[in-house]
Amino acid sequence: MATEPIHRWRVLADRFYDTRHQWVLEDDLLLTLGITDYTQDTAGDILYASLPSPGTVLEKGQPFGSIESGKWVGQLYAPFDGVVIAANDQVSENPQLLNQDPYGRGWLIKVRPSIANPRESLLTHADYTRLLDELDER
Amino acid sequence: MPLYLVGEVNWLTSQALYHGLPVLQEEGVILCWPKEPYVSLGCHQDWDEFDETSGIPVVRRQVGGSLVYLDDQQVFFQIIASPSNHPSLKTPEHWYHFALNPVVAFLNHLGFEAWFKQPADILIRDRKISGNAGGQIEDSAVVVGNILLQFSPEHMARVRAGSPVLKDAFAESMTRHLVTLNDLSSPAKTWTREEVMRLLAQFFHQEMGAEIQSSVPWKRWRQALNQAGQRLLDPDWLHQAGYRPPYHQVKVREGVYLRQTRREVYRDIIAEVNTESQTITALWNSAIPVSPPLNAEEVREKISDSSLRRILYELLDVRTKDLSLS
Repeated sequence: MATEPIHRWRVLADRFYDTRHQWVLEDDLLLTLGITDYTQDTAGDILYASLPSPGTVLEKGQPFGSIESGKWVGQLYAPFDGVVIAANDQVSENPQLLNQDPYGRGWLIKVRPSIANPRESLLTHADYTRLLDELDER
Repeated sequence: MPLYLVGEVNWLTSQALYHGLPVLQEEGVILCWPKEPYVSLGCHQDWDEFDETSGIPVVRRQVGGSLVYLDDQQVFFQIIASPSNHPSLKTPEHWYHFALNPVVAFLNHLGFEAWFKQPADILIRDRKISGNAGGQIEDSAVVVGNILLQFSPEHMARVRAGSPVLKDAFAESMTRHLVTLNDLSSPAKTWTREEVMRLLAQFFHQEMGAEIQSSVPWKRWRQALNQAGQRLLDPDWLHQAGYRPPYHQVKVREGVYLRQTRREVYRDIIAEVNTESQTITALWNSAIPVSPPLNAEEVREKISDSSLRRILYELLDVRTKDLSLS
C-alpha cells in the first residue's frame, strides 16, 4: 500500500533527482536540469540566477551556477559530466520563475551528458520523497 | 566548533579565511580585521558598481549582498559550518539566526537594544551596526559580517560608482541609517578591536558553544588560504557582470535604497526609497515643490508632471497599471 509523503514539498514522478535537491528530466538525447520545490521554498525569494553559457563543460560534483536570495548564495552542482546545450534566459531575466514554477518554466539548463547512463547516480522520485521525509522529521 | 582569535591580517587574508576553510572541510568561527582598507563585491554584483578610480584593492566574495567598504575599524566574524553537523538548520534564515544570535547577545549585553532584521542586518535604534551575508561554499554554510567600531560614509561613497551627487546623497543617507559602537558609547569610551574581538568570542562560546582556541593553525591553513586568495582575485571572476535592476540602485541598509532612473528623462533625480513602506523618504536634484515622505498615492495627488510621476513610480516599484495611478 502506498503511503502519503509526510513532507510538504512537491515531487514529480516523471523525473529524477539528486541529493542536492535538483531535478533531471530526460528529453530525448538531452537532459533538462532544475531546482526542486524544496530548494525554492527553503531559499525564499530568489533575486538572481547565474547560469552557464551553452558550450560550458560540466564536471560531476562541481558548481555550474548559483542563485541568490536574501544575501544568501546557493550553488548549483552538476549531477553528471556533460556539455551545456542551452540555458534558460527567462530565468536569468526573471529569477522569480524559480519560485513560481521550479519544475516547469523555471528549468535551468539543458545538457548533453557525456556518460552512457547518467540515471545510475540519480534518485527516483520515491527515493527523493524519502529523503525529504527524513529532512522534515529532523 | 573551534573559535579562532585571528586578529589583524592583510586585506586578502581577511577574505581568504572563510573561503579556504570550506575547502579544508573545517568548521570554525573566525574573528579578525583587515590591516588595510579594501572593497568587497557581492558574488552576483555588477563590476560596474565599483569606482575603479578610487584606487583601492577590490575582491569579489562567494557570498551574497552588495559592495562594501571594509577597513580596520570593523571587526569581522565569519562562521563556517558543516550542514551535516547542524541538521535542524535548513534555510538561509535559520543559518543567519544561528550565526548572528551571539552578535545580538553581545550588543544587548553592552546595553544596546539590538535586533535582527531580515534577511541579514543587525540594527540598533533602526540604524545598521552590522551588515551580513551568507551562502554555500564547497559543502559548508558560511555567514560573514562585521561590527562597526567607526565608519566613514565618505570613504564608502567614494568607492561606489556614480555621479558626485549620488555619492553625496549616499554619504548623507548612510549618516542617517548607520551607527557605530563608538557613536553609541559615551565620549570617554573608545572601543578597541581587541576588546570587541574578545567580548564577541565570549558570546560565541556562550550562545553557540564555540571553543576558543589558544592559537591559529596557520601552517595547516596556509596553502588553502593562498589558493582561495588567488581565486578571489582572478580577473574573470572579479570583473563579472551581475545583477542589474531596472534603475541604478545603492543599498543603504535592509529596506532602504537610493535609486536613480536609467531613462533619459529625470536621470539626475535621486530618491531614497523605503521598500517596506513603499515610500520615498528623501529626494536629491528634484525641482518639485513637494517634500518627502511620499508614497505612491501622494505622488499621484501632488505631482502633475506625468513623466516624473512614472519615474517615481518606477523607483517605488509600483506598477501603474495595477493601481491606476498614472
